[in-house]
Amino acid sequence: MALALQLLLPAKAAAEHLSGGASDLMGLYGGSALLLGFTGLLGVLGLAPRRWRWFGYRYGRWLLGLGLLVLLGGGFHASVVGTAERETGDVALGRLATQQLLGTLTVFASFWGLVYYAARRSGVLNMGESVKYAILRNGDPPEPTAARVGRPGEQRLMWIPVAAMGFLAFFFSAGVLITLLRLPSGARP
Amino acid sequence: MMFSAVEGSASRNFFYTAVLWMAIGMSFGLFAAVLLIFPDLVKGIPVLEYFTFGRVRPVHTNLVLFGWLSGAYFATLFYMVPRLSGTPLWSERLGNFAVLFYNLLMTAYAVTLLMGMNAGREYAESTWVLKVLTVVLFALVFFNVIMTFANRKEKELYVTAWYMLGAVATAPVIYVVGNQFLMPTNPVTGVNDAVINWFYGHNILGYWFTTIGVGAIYYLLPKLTGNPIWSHRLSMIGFWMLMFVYGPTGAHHLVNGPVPYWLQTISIAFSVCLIVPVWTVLTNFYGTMNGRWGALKESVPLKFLVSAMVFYFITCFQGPMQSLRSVSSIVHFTNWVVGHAHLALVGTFSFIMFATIYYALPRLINREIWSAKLMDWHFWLSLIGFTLFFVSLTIGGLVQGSDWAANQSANFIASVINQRPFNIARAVGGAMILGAQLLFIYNIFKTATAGSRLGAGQAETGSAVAGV
Repeated sequence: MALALQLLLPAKAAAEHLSGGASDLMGLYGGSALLLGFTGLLGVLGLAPRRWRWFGYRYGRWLLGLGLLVLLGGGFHASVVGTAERETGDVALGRLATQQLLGTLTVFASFWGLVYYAARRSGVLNMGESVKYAILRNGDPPEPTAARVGRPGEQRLMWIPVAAMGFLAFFFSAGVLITLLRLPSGARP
Repeated sequence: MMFSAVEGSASRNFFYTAVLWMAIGMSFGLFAAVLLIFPDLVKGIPVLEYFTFGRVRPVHTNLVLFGWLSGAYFATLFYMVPRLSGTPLWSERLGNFAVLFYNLLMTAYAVTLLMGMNAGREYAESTWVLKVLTVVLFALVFFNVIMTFANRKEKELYVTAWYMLGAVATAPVIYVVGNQFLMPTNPVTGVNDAVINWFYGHNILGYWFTTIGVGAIYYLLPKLTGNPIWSHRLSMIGFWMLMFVYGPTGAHHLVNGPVPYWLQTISIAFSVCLIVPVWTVLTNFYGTMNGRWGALKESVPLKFLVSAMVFYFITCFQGPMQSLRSVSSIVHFTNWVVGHAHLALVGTFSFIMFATIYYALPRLINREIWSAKLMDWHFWLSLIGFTLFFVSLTIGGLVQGSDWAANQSANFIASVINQRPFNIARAVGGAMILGAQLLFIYNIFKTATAGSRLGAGQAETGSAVAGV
């Protein structure tokens, strides 16, 4: 719904200010891409709820790919909508900014890629599931509650934090949207 | 010998002193909140001239960040690392020396900041001498941790070990670089220093406070529920994503400011990407708790952990949202940001430390917690007080943002007056939080002095560390 609003009313979400103006359209595309990608990741790893596990195995990679498409396509769309560099027509500034951006990403990705590669080569990086049992046999005894036998209906307690998270997320989002929309039109970002 | 070599003593001593610094730091915080309601409270009173808001606030932030939370984190490292490694802590004597060093350093922090010796950089207000000594403190603790890992018997590294090693590897770098290599006079000034300051200010949260906090969750959840974590593979993806993605996010504190546009965009993009590591933690949390929710009724540490997960989610929901330019233009510099910071440091990481202390301390001193009723009071008073605290700050921040955006700069005082009811609610919430912690400290004191011995099933087998 937020994405639809952004597409229909792009100007209202645009941030016009001294350091350049661009809409937060990319933020919405990025969030959507992450949602699709994370869902796909859970599917590929076989971590979807039991009823949906077959769906995850079958379509997980497709969801990952779709997330990537949304990210790339969204980036294209956001740049078509317009940036400060395009509007000012300063080609040199745009080139410099792009170089700095790519340079930073290259250094960062190279460093962490090297760290990950070294960790895998040395055999230290263990992604296997067997290691998770080590914590239960390390001689530090679990709390008495760990041995407690569950009673019928207690699984419903799960909905307390779920509801709290949902309510607070709604509360914060609504608060921000209401604040933004209630501003006089000349004061809106 | 002056420094004890008893197994577990360094961890225990760090826990004891950390909770005392928590009480002191939070008291300064409450006083700062009261000053926002009664700004002339200390005006004209000779001794109290040191206790103006400008001095009290940095004392609060530094004592809760470095005195309480970092102290508790050192204790957590000294407790969990030996048990993950299958070997005792490399040197309890060095650990106890670090305890003494840390307490003297925190005293110096408080005294110098109250005297107005302030470097003027957020979360790095202390003078350069104290910053050098802080690095020495980190070195004392981390050397002990690294040597323990180096001598480990448990060859497989559980995810908590990865998070703790990640903290050890990255936190000193961030502290040293972010404080301009600890030079006595900052060679970089102005907006460029702001960029460096927020590289430090935000990344110390991600690479020190988040790593140890999340690592502690992964240790405690199996211990409190009896279930292994749902997916170790997913937790490792979360760890590596955190390590990769957190670094460039610092400049989101400077969005809409006079810093390069591309830098802001990178920080926003990576802030949004941070959603994924958070979701890995939350997915593992719900997966691990599956079938064990009944334990929530009887376990106060688990209540704290579940609450911490809710606050962690909401902190990391707000973060990407408020890094967007349009949202940032409304909430930047307002009480919303103060609420957000407290959601992370109090609601998430302090709550995790309360759970850790309730779990670890009885095992360290071989005594049961003195009063289960006080534990309950501690939890409910903390939760209700903190909810009042952050809700009032969030709504107040939105009111501030809309006041300023609607061109109240011509009447700024009106926006200040509008905050009064929210400041009062915040102070009430803060008083409840502090009251809860005083009950907690009393319970810890009575546990240490009068708690009953642990039953045979709860005491650790053989030596205090793994595998025996």
